[in-house]
Amino acid sequence: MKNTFREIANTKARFFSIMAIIAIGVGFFSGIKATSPSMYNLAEHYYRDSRLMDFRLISTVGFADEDIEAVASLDGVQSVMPSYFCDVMTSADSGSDVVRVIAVPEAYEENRSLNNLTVNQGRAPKKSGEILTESIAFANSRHKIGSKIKFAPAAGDSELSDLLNKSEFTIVGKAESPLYISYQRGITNIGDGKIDEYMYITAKDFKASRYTELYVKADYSDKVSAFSDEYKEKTEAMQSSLEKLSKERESAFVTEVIPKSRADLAVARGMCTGIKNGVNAQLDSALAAIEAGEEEYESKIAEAQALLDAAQEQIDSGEAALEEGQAAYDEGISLGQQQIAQGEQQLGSAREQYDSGKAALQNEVDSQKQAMENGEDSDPSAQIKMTLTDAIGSAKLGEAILQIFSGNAQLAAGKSEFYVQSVTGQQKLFTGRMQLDAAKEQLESGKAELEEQKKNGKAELDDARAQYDSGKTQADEAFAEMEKELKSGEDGLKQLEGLTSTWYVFNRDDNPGYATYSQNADRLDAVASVFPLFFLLVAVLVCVTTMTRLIEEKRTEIATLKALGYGSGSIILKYVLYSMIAAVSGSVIGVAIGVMTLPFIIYNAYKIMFYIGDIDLIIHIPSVVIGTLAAVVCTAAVSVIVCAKSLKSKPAQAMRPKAPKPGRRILLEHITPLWKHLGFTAKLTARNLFRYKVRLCMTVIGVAGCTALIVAAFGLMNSFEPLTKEQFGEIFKYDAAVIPRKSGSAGELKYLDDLAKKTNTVSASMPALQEETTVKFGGKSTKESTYISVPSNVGDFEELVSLHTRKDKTPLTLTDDSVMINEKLASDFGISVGDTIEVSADDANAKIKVGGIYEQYIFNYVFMTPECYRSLFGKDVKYNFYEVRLCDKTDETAEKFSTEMLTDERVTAVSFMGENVDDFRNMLNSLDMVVVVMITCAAALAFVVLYNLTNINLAERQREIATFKVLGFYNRETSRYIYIENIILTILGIAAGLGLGVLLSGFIIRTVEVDNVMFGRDIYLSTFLFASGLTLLFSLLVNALMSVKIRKVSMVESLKSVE
Amino acid sequence: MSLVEFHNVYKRYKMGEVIINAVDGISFNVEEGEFAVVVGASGAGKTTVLNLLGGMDSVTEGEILVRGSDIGKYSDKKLIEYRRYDIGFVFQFYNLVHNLTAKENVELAAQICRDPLDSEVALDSVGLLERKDNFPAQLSGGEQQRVSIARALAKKPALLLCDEPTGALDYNTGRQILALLQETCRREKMTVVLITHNSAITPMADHIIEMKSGKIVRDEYNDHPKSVDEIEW
Repeated sequence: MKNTFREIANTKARFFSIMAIIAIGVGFFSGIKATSPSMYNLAEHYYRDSRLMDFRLISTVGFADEDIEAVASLDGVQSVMPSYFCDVMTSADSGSDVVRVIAVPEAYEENRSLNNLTVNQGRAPKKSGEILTESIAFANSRHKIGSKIKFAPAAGDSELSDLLNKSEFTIVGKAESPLYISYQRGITNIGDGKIDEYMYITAKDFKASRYTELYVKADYSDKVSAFSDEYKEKTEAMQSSLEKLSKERESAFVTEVIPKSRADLAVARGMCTGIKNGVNAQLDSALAAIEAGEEEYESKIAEAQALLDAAQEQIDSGEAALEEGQAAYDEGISLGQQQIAQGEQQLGSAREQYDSGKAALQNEVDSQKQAMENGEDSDPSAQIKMTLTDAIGSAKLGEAILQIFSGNAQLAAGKSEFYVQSVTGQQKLFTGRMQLDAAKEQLESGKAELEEQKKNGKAELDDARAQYDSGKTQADEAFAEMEKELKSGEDGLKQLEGLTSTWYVFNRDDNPGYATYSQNADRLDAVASVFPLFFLLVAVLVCVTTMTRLIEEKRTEIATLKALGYGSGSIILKYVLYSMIAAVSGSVIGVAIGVMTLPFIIYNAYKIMFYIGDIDLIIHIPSVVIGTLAAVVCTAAVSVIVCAKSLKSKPAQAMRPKAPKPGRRILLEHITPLWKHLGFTAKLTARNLFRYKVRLCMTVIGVAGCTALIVAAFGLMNSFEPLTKEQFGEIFKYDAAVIPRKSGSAGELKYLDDLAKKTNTVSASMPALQEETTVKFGGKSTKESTYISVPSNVGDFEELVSLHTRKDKTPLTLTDDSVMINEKLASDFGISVGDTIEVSADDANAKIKVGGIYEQYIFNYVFMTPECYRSLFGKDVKYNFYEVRLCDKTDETAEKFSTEMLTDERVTAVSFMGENVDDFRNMLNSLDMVVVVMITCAAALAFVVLYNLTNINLAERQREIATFKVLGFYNRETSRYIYIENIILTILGIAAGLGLGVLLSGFIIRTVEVDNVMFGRDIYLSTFLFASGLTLLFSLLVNALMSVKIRKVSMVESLKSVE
Repeated sequence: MSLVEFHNVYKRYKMGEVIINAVDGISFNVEEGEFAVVVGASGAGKTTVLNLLGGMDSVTEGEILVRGSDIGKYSDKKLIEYRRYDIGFVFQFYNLVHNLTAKENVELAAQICRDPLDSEVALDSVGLLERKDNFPAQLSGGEQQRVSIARALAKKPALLLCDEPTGALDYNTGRQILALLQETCRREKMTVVLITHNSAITPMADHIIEMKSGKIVRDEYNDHPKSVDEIEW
């Protein structure tokens, strides 16, 4: 043991080189290997915690509760969550972004919610009008909690008001959704066709009557690792049962849902009618009541009026009677007065008559007396007669006086009677008047009351009428509403009847983030599978070399120990311990550093793309074990073997210096002219190189391995380049693809030409067909992402797509009797030009000759002419795709083109190749980080390996160096002696490494390549330059370090005996 | 003026706590063209003297004058040049470069000199011209040492230092080598300083310096040096 440590102390540089090489090798191996599992682990936990759905179901007609029940009752379904989503655009002042609005996850009946959000700021929306924005990427900074988001009134062909209940929402929080872990947001058919961000609102704010999507979580996803093969298998099984169910539900839609809706509608209509009738009846009776009331009112009023009128009449007649009475009275009075006056007159006249009679009588009597007196009275008779006359006259007078008296009495009586009568009459009149006045008053008050009552009655009636009217209008409105709803129901039904229900079952692989994440982790794993292994191999190899040389140097010591009686075991143990200490400590340091740093460094690059938190370290135990074991076992084993070999020789023989290998003439010397011109250093170097062939090989292999690693790393980095540069620059020259709503012949799609021309942005365009196909050859068949592509016009086609071979860029031309296939497909299946492949379209299969193999990186395309298509499948091509090359590559042009095209309703979507480029570039940029790590590690390894090899070289040459120094060589000259050899070895190593690197990078690239994508196979000159430059640089650096060591070599060494 | 003058030279090594005086205050001169032998038992300090004289090691105290200049004060570069132009060295273990032929080994030294001896002439002078294209491994020990001497001679050094040149050789070969050195010294008028533990060969020297424990115990001139053939041991 002690001996071992002394040995370590004596050969520090070598020990630490071995340790460092093993540390780098094992560290890189275990570190890279730990990255992918850590990434998977992170995603798995994230998905499990947020309860990511396993399936997403979408239907052309939405979902009803029956559908959900049917899905939920499927075997293996753990929970179902119906939800709503729609794609809308923010208003122009909010940026006109395309937003996918999703309902906040909510538990559905006993199913727990799925795709749970992580609210990072604020809170989740609780009530209508609240919205949650995404807390990642660019969208984060744009929205502030508390501010408003306004949506544009139209979203593609739909009105916003048909989709959402509100157009303005208040941001209440920011969150991450497990549905979107990457920068990808998916595509849509509004706006520029690309979703910019997602937002969450409450389900209430959606207008849709049927759920627009169903999220399904299967039982197994809690137990099975998300990215495992088991998960894939189970998902496939589940998917097919969901698809089966979909078919049932699709037909159920026709046989159940529509009739049911129809029946529902009929019931609704019946109910509506019932309600309408009931309400109408009520209204009618109300109206009747009002009318009756009015009638009654009228009649009552009339009655009252009549009564009043009668009273008036009475009063009037009373008045009249009174007037009459008054008149009669007055008349009576005047009559009485008249009578009285008459009577008085009569009396007067009677008195006058009497007076006159008396006077006459007197007169007569006088006259007669006179006559008598005068003789006249000559007639006795006249006397008698006069007496008689007198008598009679007197009698008559008496009578007249009597009469006057009686007349007087009568008059007086009459008068008094008159007075009495006049008083009573007056009294009577007075009371009559009084009565009449009272009646009048009564009448007045009656009249007033009537007026009052009339008014009240009127008001009440008016009220009732108004109530009735408003009731009526309300009822009418309600009826109209009902009618409208019925109508919309009918429309809806009609629409439903017009629709065919098609369900789409998506699984996690269709989730953009999920798919890219697993692709990335897979690719990383693929990188981690080959490269680090080779890396480890180089490290172990170099360690083995070092150990071998170390032990060979120590053969004298070994022999001495043996001679002193040490057992072989203990001698071997010393070196095994030495190597094991180096290997184990190197491995521990390597694993510690590698595992602690590499996954984080690499994942950091992925964090630009994915938002699922930070990785926790998952140590990939197998890789740690394999790495450490490889290092420890190999170095230990080589120690044992080399030691044992040394021990085999007899101690006495071994103790003597191993006879130096004889110097030998090398082939080069026979070329005398050349040899003569070589300096000693060169000759020495040349001879040295050829003398120790094994050593040469070991060194060259070590250096070559490092160079190869660098070449491979750079090669891998470069292999990404064609994916974007060549694919979307030189092969697919078109910038945009327009998807028409209906596919059709070139003639039918003529309108696209017109539309495109109108945008003034197009330089070439053509309809094309792209449809999925399966290519079969030699028992193999393609699985996915393989398409038939048919250009409508070969002339335009050349402007849009360039078919050429990869190596010499020979252009390929389509002919009617053969197809062109891409290189990846050809190399995977072993197809060469002239072979016959089987191609399918829909259900038809056809055999066709391969006319050419073209350069192509992303996906497989089988190109053929329309005539070829027709002859193969017996039908005309229905183009579904319109390729456009824009006049320039600016965003404005693209924006203009897309916006103008999408305004036409016959256009479903416009997609830009640039987006693909960005997608790929983003994905590959993260891989670049891996490559940078690879390059760094390879460079580090190269440095340590070179240092180690030079160091060994130096240790073995100490004596020669000392001699040179004694001979008076300058340090520089002495160093050169070592350098030149090193540099030649390095150059040889580089040369071999470049060759090896080509093979290695080819191998790695092929391993890393995912299905349907071909990485660049060409290795650029720059790669070679970088790799050789770096290695050479390290070599020079190491030499510089070594020259210090050379200066330190003591000349006294030269005097020592050969050990 | 002597070619080499040691003035009170000390060389001390520090071995942990102990200071060892490998050379303990010695003074002597070597004249131009003389054949000097430094003799002493193992550990007497003779190799140290050679190292100091050869510019491979530096003195701790005192001065070593070669042609009047103190090599102890030389810079590294000056020391290299001193070794390069003034010193020829013959090692106990020959120290030939295995991968060069005899001639090339000589040329190796010759090429760095200003006015070297032709390497074939040098080889001829040691009697190995016909073996010039042999590699050291194809030569016997004595032949290798002769190549080593030829290598030293080719430089036409002012001072030829030999460190136990016969140490690894058998008796007869050793004699031949010594004879060669003596002859060279006489013929080329070359100053030779030879180190040996074998006092039996001192009679052939012009100048004998005997060392013991780092000190000079005898420093005398031999007026009648014997030729190698005359001495035996």
